[in-house]
Amino acid sequence: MTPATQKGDLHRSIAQTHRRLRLLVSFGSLLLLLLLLRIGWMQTIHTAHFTALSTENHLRQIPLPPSRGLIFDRHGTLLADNSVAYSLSLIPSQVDDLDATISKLRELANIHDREVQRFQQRGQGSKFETTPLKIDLSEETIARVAVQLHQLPSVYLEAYAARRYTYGESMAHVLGHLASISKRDRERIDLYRYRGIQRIGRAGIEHQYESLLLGIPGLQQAEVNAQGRSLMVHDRKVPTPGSNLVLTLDADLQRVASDAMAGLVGAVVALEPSTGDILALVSAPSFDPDVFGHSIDPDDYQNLIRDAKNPLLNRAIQGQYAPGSTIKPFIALAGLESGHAIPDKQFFATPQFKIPNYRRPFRDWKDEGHGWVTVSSSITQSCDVYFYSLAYRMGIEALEPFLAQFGLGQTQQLDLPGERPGLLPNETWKQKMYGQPWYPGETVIMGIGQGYLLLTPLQLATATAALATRGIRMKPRLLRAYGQDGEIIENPPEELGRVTLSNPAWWDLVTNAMVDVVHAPNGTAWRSGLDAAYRIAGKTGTAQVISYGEKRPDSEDLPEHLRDHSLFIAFAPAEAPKIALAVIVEHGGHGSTMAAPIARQVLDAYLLRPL
Amino acid sequence: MAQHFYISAVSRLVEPLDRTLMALLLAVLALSLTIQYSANDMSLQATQQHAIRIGIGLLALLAMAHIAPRHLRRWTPALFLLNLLLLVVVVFYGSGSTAQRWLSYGPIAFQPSELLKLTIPMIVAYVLGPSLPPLSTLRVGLVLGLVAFATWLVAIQPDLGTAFLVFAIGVSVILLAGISRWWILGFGALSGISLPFVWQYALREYQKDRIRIFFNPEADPLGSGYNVIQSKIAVGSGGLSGKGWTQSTQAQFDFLPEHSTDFIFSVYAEEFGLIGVALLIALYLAILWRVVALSQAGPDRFSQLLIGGLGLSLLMHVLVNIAMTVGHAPVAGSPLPLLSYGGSAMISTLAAFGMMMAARHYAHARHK
Repeated sequence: MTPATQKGDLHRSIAQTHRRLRLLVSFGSLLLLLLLLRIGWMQTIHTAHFTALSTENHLRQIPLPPSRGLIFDRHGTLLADNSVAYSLSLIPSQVDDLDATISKLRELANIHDREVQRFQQRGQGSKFETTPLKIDLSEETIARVAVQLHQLPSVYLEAYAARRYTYGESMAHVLGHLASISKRDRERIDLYRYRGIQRIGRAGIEHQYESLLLGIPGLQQAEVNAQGRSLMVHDRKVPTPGSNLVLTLDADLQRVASDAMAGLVGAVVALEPSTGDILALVSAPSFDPDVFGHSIDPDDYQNLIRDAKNPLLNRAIQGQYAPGSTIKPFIALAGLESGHAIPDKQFFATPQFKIPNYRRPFRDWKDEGHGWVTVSSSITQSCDVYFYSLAYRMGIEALEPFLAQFGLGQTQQLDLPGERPGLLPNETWKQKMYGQPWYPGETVIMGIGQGYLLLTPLQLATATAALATRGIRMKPRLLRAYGQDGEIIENPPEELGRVTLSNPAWWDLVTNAMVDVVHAPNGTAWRSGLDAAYRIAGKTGTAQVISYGEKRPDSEDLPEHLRDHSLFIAFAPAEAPKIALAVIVEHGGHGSTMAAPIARQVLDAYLLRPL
Repeated sequence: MAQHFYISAVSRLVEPLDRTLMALLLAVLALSLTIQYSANDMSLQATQQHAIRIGIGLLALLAMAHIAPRHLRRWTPALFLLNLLLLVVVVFYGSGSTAQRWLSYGPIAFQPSELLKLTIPMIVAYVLGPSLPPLSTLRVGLVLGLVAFATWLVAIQPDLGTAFLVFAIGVSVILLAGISRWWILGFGALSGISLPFVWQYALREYQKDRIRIFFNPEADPLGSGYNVIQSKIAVGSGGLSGKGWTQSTQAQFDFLPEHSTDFIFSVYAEEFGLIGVALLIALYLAILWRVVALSQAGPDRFSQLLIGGLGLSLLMHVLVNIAMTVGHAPVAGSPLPLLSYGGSAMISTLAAFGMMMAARHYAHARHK
């Protein structure tokens, strides 16, 4: 190859290289221009779309939770309050190694396995939402975590409003408590109103008046960064706090009643007959409402659920009991109204009552029988045979509608969730329930408050209040007023109905007989009437838990769970009643031994209190 | 006299520099400083750091511009071997958050893979320069082997994005050198066939994720697709004239990850809008075509291949990076030349321009 051709080859190859380079760069330039075109399209025609996304990214609407309404008693005593508590929260999606972070936090705070489980069940949540791992931290824990916080990205100490109940256990059933918003809650609530709110009223007043207590969340438009930290607040709409509630309850009376029930199982319901104001509503045993609000050992909650005495049950409105002899004043009124009982007409009460075609006699609690009695003295002495006979003569067709007028076997429309209706049986019910006709013997035992008849303590109390008002049935209520400072909206008393008698004097007859129960020497509760500064109209009741043969053993000889329930109803002062109540002590034995003294304590506390 | 001496010394110093190219580069570097100030939360310290790197890069450019191609050629094998050695060291001693890419010596840390973007065109030009088309199969085979080995060393760091670019740069220089069409076709076919095997055996799960996300970024908006989605939001929300300097909400509030390095273009597009983007792309195109013009003259094949190879390297980097920010290329972790924060890339890019200018200058000088 000559040098000339070699030089020619070199030139050719350089020219070829240059061609190829130009070709490649041209192609690359074209691609770059296409990219410019694409970017131009994004930045002109489609820019609104991206601008919206960008704004959505960095401007965040942060809800400002309202403070929950406070709850007061009728005298302005604070029952439920809000206080600041701290939770240990994380943004799970922003934590790289969740398990490591949690185990690190467990070194700092006492975190229960169940709390970790609950945390994990909540799932990831959004990129900016915190999920609480542990709530209601102790001051010591707060201090310990705060020092370490800078080493724990996406872990937060968050302040929140915790609910505190001044009266703890004694108000637990009636006030209820707050609980985390559950999946079921989410389906029925307006999520808009719950933005920024973690807890919802779960029972009692907290649940009943949730919509009043809740308030309206405010809104804050803030600039946030990718970690969700708020950098600058642009716009703010303040939250509207929830309404405060003024209840009809008397906190002191409630405490007296719940102290009197300490260690017992049962209920006390006291109300003002003229208004229906519930003054005390106690169910025993009770529980510490903080178990729900704060993070004491979650085992406490499990213990509550497993407790055989079922402390979570509100016996005052959910317990259904045979009323025993406390039904007798109402049976007496039914008899007077229907003409089967005549005032002052003498009746010879034998030890037992027999009806045709019944092999088994109906025994009186008094083995030797009461002898000559009237309708009045039958109430005073609680003569069973008189009422067997009276009920038998009236029949269920006359008895059931009359008792229904007092609201027995119906819910009382108390403003508290979960009230049960009890049971006022009749022939139709029996046929439907058992496919059997009503037997006359069943009417007989209903005369002394046994059999199918079941009443809640609330029903007994409201029916007693109707005796006190001579037939005017006021709707029982817990809410007296609600509203914000100055702007109080009253919740007026409401009449449910009236029981009218052909002869109003019969009210006096029954009231006097009930006064004798407490104040006459032959009254069944005469011991509870001693030294009373006012006159009480009352009636004892002893409800059998199981039925026995001809001879029933003495209650004290039985194991506790087979002993009779002890009941007492009363109103006082008898001439101008200010309070009516019902007391039930499960397995407390005779009405006069357990329930009546408790009633006396409650009445004294209310009527003798220095103003 | 003395004054005259200094003037002549300075003029000798800047003599090899190409005025047009220098003007274009300085314009892009000015934009670079401007946008880095904004992308680093208006931190003067970070901006100063960037300015220092630009300064070092310009010194490197000046230094390289004075090295005649024949000297450069003589040192090429040694430089390439040294680079390979450093890559091997990185594999064993390197540092980095997700992959081992960095070598540190005291306060200085650099990525040997960035250096490869210089030494690859050099070695290909070195091996193929003396051979005129039709190229000897032995030389092509040798140089392909070297490129593949270097690529493999980068790929196992693992840094797939850079490995791809290194390989593409090497192949493109071979292409420039005058390889026959049959080679091109055969090679294309081979790549096509090997693709499924590479997917199956060579790629790690996160690398596969990135490629999957490239095709469907919305599938995982908080995970791998997040970067691309946020980047597109930044670019698109810039509009015609941008949100204004330092007004990028995507970067300022940290929605856009890597916003001073890989995604600097998105911040630029958000703040300066379509007008700014058009200006920047026009500058890159002008630089590219100036580089093409530089490569035209030399009768020296080594110089020509070197200039062409470095120019194509620049082109590919710009294309891959900008395409990535709008979701048209996988998130490869490669910087935008001259704009991104980071010393290794800045210095090696500017040094490359020094080499190109030297190649041009000494070719001219010889002609005269």
